[in-house]
Amino acid sequence: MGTRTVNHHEDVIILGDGAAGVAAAHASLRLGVRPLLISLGNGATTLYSGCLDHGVWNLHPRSSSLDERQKEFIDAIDIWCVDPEKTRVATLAGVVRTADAADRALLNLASHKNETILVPRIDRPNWDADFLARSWSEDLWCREQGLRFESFDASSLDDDRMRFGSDTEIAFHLDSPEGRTKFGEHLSAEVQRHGGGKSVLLGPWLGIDTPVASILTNHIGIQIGEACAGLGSTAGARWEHAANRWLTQQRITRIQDRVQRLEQVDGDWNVHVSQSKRPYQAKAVVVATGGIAGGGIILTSGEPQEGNEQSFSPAHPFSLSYRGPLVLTVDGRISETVASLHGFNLERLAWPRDDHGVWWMDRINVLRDGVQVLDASNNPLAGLFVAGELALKRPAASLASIATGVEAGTAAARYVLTNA
Amino acid sequence: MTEAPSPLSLAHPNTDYDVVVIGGGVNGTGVLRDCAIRGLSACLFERNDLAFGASGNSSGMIHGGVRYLTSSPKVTRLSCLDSGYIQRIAPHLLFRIPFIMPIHRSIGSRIFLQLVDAFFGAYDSFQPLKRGRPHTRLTPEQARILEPGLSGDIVGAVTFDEWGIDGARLCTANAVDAHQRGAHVRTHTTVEGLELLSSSPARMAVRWRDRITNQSGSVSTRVVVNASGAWAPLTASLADMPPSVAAVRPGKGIHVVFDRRLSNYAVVAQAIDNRQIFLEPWQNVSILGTTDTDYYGDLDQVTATSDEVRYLIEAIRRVFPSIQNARAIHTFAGVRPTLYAYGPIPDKLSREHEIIDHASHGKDGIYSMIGGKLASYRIFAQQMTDIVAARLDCHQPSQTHLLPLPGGDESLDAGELAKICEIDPVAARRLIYRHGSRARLIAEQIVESKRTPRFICSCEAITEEEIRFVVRHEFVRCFEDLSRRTRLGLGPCAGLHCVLRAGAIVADELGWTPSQGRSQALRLLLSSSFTRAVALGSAQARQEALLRAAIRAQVGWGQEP
Repeated sequence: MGTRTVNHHEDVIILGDGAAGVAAAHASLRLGVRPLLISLGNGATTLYSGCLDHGVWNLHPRSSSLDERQKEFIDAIDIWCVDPEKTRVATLAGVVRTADAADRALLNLASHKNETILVPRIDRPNWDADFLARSWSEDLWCREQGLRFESFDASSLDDDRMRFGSDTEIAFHLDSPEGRTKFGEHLSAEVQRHGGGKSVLLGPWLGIDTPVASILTNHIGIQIGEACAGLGSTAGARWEHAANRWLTQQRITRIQDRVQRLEQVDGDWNVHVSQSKRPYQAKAVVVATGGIAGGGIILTSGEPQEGNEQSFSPAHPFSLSYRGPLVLTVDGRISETVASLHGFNLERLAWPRDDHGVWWMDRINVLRDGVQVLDASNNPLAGLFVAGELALKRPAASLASIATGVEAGTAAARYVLTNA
Repeated sequence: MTEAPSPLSLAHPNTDYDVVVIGGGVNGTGVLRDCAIRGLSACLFERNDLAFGASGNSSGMIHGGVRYLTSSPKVTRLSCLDSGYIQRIAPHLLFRIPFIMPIHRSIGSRIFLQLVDAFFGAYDSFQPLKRGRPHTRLTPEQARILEPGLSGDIVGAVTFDEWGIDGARLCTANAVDAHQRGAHVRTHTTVEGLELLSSSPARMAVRWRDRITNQSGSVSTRVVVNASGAWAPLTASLADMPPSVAAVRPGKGIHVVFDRRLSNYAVVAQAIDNRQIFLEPWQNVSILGTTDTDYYGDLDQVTATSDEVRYLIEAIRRVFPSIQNARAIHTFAGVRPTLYAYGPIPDKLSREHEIIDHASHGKDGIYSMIGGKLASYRIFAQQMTDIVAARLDCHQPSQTHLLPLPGGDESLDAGELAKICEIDPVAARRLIYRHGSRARLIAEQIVESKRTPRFICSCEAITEEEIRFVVRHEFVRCFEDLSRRTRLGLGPCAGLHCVLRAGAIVADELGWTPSQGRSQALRLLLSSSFTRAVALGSAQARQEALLRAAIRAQVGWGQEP
């Protein structure tokens, strides 16, 4: 891939294939405008926890405000369950949290009441059933709900894969019917030995491309589901798989390459990438390359030069990972060159101590009006739109990313249709 | 907290203790151990944690004091001699750090090389005291072969030999040994008053308050040793003396930690103000240090600034340019309690130590230990304890140079230990480094658990069993104490994979609720965010963003800590 040069092949180019990028593709296609995706892969969405929110879950009010286009996208990806009023999941840090939407493989505790939920004791280095059960049972909401968590011996589930494999390796194994069936039988037998139970909480092991949780639940008659991991969990792999499946179904081309430069030429946008000499060209571009975690924004704390004396030159404290006419802002103000040869005062990078403080690096945006990208004099850059973390003042908000993605994809498609 | 055995029989039964030591640094724990070995009943109060100050934030060397060879050869000799003793009592804690000092071409650089060569020739005569190797003089080609990262036009180089040590582990080992011999150790307990109860013989009341439980009380003692380092003047003022009677010149020094060993040798370089700084391979990381500036801020909150970090990077960059692409993961800062002098620039201050008998200030029975350095802590502690013992009619000589510290009695084979508990030999070596022969106790726990070893911290290879052992036996009272003992949460992952799980284990050991463990762990993340921020580059910034995303997803933000 990446050697093919596209000229006016597609109508809109989307940079980034995380939640915002794929949502933009969906929205654009909905209006009949075909998107081309360019991404290096592995952004922040592939590392997400399995929960979708409008903001940091314990600081933002729950909200189900999804419009039709967003709902359609979520239905198309087909891995999430949206029910902000009734979603509670357990995390591997021992916390029970709310979520606006969650991966369907996660066990939704809100549909349980006055019940003991079982947690298998498995010989697995990052799985401490006793601690998890104790910690979840401590949660106030769980106590009000009459939910208790109890660990039980499940040594027949121990094998080398459980001991040494990664979460995704186990999940991949359970994707296979044999692996799944055997796991279900062992689990069911252990639950019987323990004296029975209705629900079992497991780690992030329940399949990547198959709905293992619901298959096994139906098969063994015990409701099983995952606890939510913090980062790099199976939920991210499931998202990748589901996004791939949808993009393939829609025959949307995806180029895996590094974007180097973005420029406007005679009313078109040229996207230069590292593995192809000729640029990709389209009427409109949606930039959804993510923030610091996703790799879309790079921190530069001073630009070292050759030689010994006065070896630094003035620098922007951070930059996009490619060149282009976009202007970066912090809290809405244009980011300037720092008045120091050595970069900005790094003390600013410490986490804020107050409750609602947002980390400095999370407040970096592209200069924009809604999803329309502006130049430094606040004039729209026709045909250039932004989505995801670059268009959000707050972090860790996948539903907000999806919303901006839908917005930007729609705007880009409309732009293409009116300027065709 | 670790269960204390009952105090030893008192030399003077009308007080709670013979000796109260204030300060849990290397001097304080050294005196406590010496007292305990000589059979004196002693109690140590530490306002923060063991090795919280200069002892745990030094360059991590018991170097022979080569810097002081011309100004105070006495310091050099003492340092080398005591360095040899420390090797004997805690061989597991020491590791060789060979230094290289490249000389760059300039006017007179060849003559300078001759001088440096002669200078280290003189240092060679002290090296046998600490089992050090003699220096060598290298041609530019030899220097480049040994240390390919060196840049610039070199006319030659000199190598010399030093020893590295983990200062926090050294303090802990002293405290553990003292405790096993009957002394009491009270960390996070601040002394709020020192009052004379009667003068001949002197009896004093030490009023204390536990900063975690807020419990307070008073103990009586015959002797008080103020070993509180940079805090010494503050401690002296508790006894109604002017702070100047225990004056120190507080010199702040910072270090930057990089994620791996970047060089074969510790590289010496010149800073813009002609000070010598160095980049040393230390345990499994590299440490760049150090600065020396007068410090007047809060001693409980000393942190590096980005200015200080850039000063060091600029200096080392000129001889070791690849530092620019290296990944800084952490900084630390401490305040040296150097002997007070008004006038000299900090580098020229004496590193000698001094014992002040406050009898001359009308406070018979109170002594202050001022100055000193990690390398000569033992002899300093011995000198102090000699005075205390003589005063209490105890005629036991010091044995701290003969009796091994906990874990220092026997050297274990990492390969064998690895086989016994089915862990990686590298992990076994790290375990043995931290605990010496006591690593066997942890290995037994791993075997006994009949589970696959659970590595909680993969940066430092720390198992659940080691965390439990450290909490049980090494005076851990809050989560940061654990981090100070093991360096958990300070590696390249910045705590992403370890702190929440480690918090749960500490909570379990100390009888806290899981949410208390969580909030303690998050507190460490918050405070270490400040120490990392000032050295953050693009790779570590991304790690920081991932860490925050993980914390937000699992725990939320704002309610705890």
